[in-house]
Amino acid sequence: MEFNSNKAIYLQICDAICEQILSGGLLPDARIQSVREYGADIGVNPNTVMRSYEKLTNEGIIYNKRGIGYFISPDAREITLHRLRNEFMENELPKIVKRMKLLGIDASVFKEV
Amino acid sequence: MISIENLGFSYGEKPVLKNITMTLEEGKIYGLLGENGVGKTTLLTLLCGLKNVKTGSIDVDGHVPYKREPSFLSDLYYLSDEVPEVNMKATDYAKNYGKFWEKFDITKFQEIMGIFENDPEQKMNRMSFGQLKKTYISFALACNCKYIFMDEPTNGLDIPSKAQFRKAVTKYTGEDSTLLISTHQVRDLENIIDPIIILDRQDVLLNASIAEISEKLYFDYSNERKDGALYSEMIPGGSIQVYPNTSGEESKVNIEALFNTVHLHKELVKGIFHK
Amino acid sequence: MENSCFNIGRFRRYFVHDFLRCMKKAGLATLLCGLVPIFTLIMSAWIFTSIGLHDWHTDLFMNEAIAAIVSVLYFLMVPIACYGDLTDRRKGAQYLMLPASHIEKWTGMILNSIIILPLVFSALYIGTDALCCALLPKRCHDILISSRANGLALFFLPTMVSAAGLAGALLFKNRKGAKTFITCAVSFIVLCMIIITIAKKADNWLIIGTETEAWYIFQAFCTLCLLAYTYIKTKKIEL
Repeated sequence: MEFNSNKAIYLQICDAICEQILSGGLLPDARIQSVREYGADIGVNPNTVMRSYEKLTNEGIIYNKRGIGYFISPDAREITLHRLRNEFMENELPKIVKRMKLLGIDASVFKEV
Repeated sequence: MISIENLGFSYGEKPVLKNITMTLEEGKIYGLLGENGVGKTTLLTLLCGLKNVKTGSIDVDGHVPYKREPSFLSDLYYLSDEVPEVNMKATDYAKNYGKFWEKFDITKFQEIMGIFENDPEQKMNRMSFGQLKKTYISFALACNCKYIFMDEPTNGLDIPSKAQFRKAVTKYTGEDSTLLISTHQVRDLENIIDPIIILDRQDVLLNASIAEISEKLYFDYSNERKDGALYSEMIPGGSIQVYPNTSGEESKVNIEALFNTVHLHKELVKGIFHK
Repeated sequence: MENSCFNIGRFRRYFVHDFLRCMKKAGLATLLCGLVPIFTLIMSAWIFTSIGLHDWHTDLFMNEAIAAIVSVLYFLMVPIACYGDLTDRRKGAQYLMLPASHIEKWTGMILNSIIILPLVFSALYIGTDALCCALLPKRCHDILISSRANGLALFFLPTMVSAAGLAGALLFKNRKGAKTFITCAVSFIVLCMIIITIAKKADNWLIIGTETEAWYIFQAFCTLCLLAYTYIKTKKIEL
């Protein structure tokens, strides 16, 4: 995994998992790798992965079955969509608008897309 | 758990460590960073019991390291930065020496050698320095000890090997193992070390987890220059500024920038992280 | 005290490992030194026949001298060859960090460098010498039979010399062989001078022979001191 973004690593891991949920790579109630397995796979300290898993658990995207592991929640897709939409509206869109203003491009360009 | 209290050490008249106090918790992968000559190797050898403290004390799970008691030694593996050549095949070395650590796993040794693309059937005195280093790293991780101290393990490794090293450490460090890796090449250990200890001769400048660091310091990668930057540097593709974190937003911790920030503002940083 | 704990299983494992390590270091030298009588025989044969002396035999005095020199050098150097690395930062650390108690490591050290290897050497030397004499009785004198040395001396002196060698291995950081040898030689000369001085001043002349009890007691005392030094040094060593 390339950690190019300047976001905190644990957040980038959350994003990566969310992307996989949206793309259908991770299905509801599917088991995901343990904290250690995932950390070993991407070369990241388990503490960091733990934080990612905790955040995703808090948001209801994954859940933990004690002694068995972590699983994708049944409604993970909706939650993820909602989360990423919010992020887009709050972070990415303002950046695009700012850039468009800087470059003098107006909203009509969206009709062509 | 490792408790270090007011540790002091000197080579003759020359003091190397002075008043070092810190605690190392179990099950973590610590990065021990510091400029060259600051005493990282000395600290590691003191923790192993290869040297005796001049002042202060070290306690490792109730043991005094200098006594070198067998119950202490069997829970510990020390990987020095200069590894000795042995006239033996790597796999024979592993079988021979592995007997002394009861949790040693020969299969694990061979797996890690595989990750390093190192041939276990090769004689160790025919290996290049990098290959020899990788053999010892594989052995260290295969011992499954409670404490593994590595002194500059990535020294002498080529770039692909450094990535293999990161993979080997994250995959094969047991949950109960505490790793202490010292380095002056911080980029080699990016993303795998947590917590981070920054050592200076007279003091421990920092001993904090990545979570704590990103809570207290903000790493700004945009090109905006704001007031109150503790540290600023041009890096490929932009720049990086380090600020005290007032917004609570978490950013990616850049260890090199952190290192420089801590050295530029020793007292300030200590104040920020004081528990 | 945990480091005084002697665990038989752990000791056996450690000792076998250390013995094999010593054999790798000093095995060949032991073999070569043990076969010196053969070399001496060949050299004698070559020299004597070269000068035309075909009815030759080896000189007892020369054989004894060679045996004495080779033995002393062997006893002195073998501990250095086996355990000299202990003071080296890299190799010594490996030895010190090996999980075994101090007493187990020390016992192994003594057994290997002071008892076992010297015994192997001695057996080889005497055996080779006996073999030469058995095969070529006209050419040799058997050292074992002809020697004037008493059995006890053959125990005390080698032990003391090996103990000195081991102490030297641990005391000096570099050029251990040379430094140990010179220290021993100088100590020996000083000792002789002291004894001669005492003997001159005493009313009764002490019988200075290598078989006196006083000499044995003195050797035993020296050996114990040297061994004590090695015990303490290995316990306290810092790398």
